[in-house]
Amino acid sequence: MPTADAPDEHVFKLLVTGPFAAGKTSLIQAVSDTPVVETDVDTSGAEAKLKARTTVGMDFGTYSIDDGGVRLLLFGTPGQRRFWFMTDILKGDVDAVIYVIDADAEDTHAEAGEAMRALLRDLRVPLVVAVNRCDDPATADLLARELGTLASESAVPCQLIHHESGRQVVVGALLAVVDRLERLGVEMLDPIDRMFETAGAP
Amino acid sequence: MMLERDEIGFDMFGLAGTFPRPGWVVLDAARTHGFTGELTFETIPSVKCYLDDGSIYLAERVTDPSLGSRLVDAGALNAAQLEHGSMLVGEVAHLGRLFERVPSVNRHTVMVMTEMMTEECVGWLAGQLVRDVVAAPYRHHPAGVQRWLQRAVAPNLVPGEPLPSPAVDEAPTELVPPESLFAGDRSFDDGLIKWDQPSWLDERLPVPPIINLLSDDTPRTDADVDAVETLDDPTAQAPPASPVFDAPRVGLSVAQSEADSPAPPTPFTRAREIVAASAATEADVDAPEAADPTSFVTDSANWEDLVTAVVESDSPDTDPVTPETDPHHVRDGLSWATRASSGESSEPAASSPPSPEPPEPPEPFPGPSPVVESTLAPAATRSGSIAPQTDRAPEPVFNDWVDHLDTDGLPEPGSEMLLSTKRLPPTRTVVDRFELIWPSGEIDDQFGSPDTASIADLQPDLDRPGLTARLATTAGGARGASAATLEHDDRQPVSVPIADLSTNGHDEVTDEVVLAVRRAVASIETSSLAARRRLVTSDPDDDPSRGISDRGIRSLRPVSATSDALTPIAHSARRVPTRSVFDDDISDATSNPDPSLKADAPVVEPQDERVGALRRLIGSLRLR
Repeated sequence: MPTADAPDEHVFKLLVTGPFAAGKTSLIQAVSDTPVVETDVDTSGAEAKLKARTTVGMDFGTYSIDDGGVRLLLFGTPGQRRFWFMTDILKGDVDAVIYVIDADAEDTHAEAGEAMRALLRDLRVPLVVAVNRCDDPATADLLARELGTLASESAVPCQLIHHESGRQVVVGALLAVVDRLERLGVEMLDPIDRMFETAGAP
Repeated sequence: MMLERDEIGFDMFGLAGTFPRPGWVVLDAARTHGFTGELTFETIPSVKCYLDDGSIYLAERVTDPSLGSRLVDAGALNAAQLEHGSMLVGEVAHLGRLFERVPSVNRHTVMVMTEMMTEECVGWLAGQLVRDVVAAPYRHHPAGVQRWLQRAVAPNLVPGEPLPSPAVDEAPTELVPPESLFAGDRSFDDGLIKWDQPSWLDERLPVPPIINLLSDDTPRTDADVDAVETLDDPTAQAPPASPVFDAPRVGLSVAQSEADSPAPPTPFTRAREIVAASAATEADVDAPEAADPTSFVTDSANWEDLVTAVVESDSPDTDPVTPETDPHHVRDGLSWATRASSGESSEPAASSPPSPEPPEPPEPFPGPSPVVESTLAPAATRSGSIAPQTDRAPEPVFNDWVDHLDTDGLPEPGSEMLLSTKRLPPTRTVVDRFELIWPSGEIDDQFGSPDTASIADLQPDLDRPGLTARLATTAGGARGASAATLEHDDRQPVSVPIADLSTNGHDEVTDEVVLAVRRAVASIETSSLAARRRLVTSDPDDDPSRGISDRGIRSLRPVSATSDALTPIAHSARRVPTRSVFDDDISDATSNPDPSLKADAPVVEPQDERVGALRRLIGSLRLR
């Protein structure tokens, strides 16, 4: 059985974050093939009107293939501002960030954009904005731009109540990771190697 | 009473209670007050403006991406430059030293992009309705952008040390081609000062300093001192003017006609006289057979030609001026001197003045001051006469340490150019072989030959850090071509006659040297000869002589996508040792690695595996 330190095991870590009641936990549940580790409690205060339970610690789900040789770890953060410190804990060594927003909850967008950029100021990893409750890619892209995404960062419209939609968001994030790995790998190569790499030498 | 920061920033511009106001009102107020610091405008979204003395150098919305990310997105930076150019201070990427840390960054592009983004944000802000403004004096952008605006302080230059190199992104100074001196619309006399010159000064002034280039081998006499005193005394009677400078006028009659109407005693006439006397004295020394000094004095009327000729005579690189090549050889002093030294006597003038003075010994031209030196000529020569030749050779007078130096093959003063009795010192020595000392202690002196000499007591890996070469002569001496620390050439020198080196032997040595250089280059690239021999029996996978084509393209290495994990891969990017084309020239087995080694499959590194794993994961999710 491969261990965590085995060289042939590949682990990828995704951070799923976003404002309160955006659909983070639903996304993790859509992908995880193991029971999601949840820290949900009853929602209190004014937020109780939106949903009954909320995450206060983290959500954790996994997805693995090749008998555990390739593992995908998904970490979900709490959405409330008072629990944002958990994001700082969970963001270490992530390969990509999935930022989930609710297209209909426009009152959360300004704060969401500010938090998103603050998160990515020191996390130079691919970002995918999952625009929940949205079916139009153009609308999703416009909404993501309003939040402050870059042109190189993609927005994926999704309906996270459907698991298939959640998996598409994760696939988009993994594709962004692949693109970044290939691009950075070529940039970091020695000039001679880069020349051969770009020339397609055998 | 201590003031809180909020109290300081409160109503800094006298706008309290007037909000909401348009953004441009606040911006104008900040500019008027010369504000320096951060202004936070309560708009949707909030905008932060950073000012320096009232000028906005950066403005951004709070929802904007970080400045570095925006610059990457705009194409002013690439990800690698941002990665290496920024420093993480807490959770903020500090870009203040971006240009110093990454010299390849185009500073102008970054600055222009920053200005454009700032202008866009300020333009948007000016039209917004601002609900409130919070001012934080002297708080700058956390990314350290204000450091980009600081002008570079001129470094303290230390005499003797090289000048600092210019900034990498500094634009080169545009080179303007020099303006031609012979442009059609350019007057050649632009730089000359003109004045109303008396008619009796209708001649060109001499160039006294060039007199120093003439000979300095005649002794000084009391007459010289008298001449100096006479010249320095303004009350002294000036000697009659000499017709030296009347170039068109040839002959004694002209001189006498001018002597009949002497010019007033001015410094110009004195200078003319001094120069004439100096030239005549030189004629006494260097051309004793010249019968009539007047001819020289008359011939050397054009002092520019004389100066040019003297300079040319001192330059061994210039061709000697001959009567065939020099159209002015008749009247310039050099031609005269050349004829005199070669035994050809100068033709006397039509009428020569009688020499009333008795013969005097030749006079020197010493000293640095042209006036004083020139006045050392004897009075007889100053008056236009010339002293007859004396049998006594002129004694050299050493007035300076330079005079004590030997000429070492250079022509003697006054002698014909390029004609010296001394041979020039040899500029190179004959080298009959080229030796290579390998790190293993082996010395190759017969290149192409299998015979090498081994020195058993050497510790190749300790005594000598690298390849050493030297040039050896038949006398056994060796000239180190590099920093050789050990010289163990106790063998008998190669008995190759030097005469043979100029014929067939010379060609053979040349080939050997070429081959040796090739082997040296090959060894530098692929390590030492001994190391290559060891590689023959070592693990072929570690053979550094195998080139890229043999080893396959080094594929991507494993990397984490986080920023902290990018540095190791940057450091691990190293140049693969290549195999030299000269290795094929070496006849031994070291140059022929096992052909089977070239059939190795390209190494698949973990980076490819990671990308492959990701692709498998994506495929699995899609099929789920």
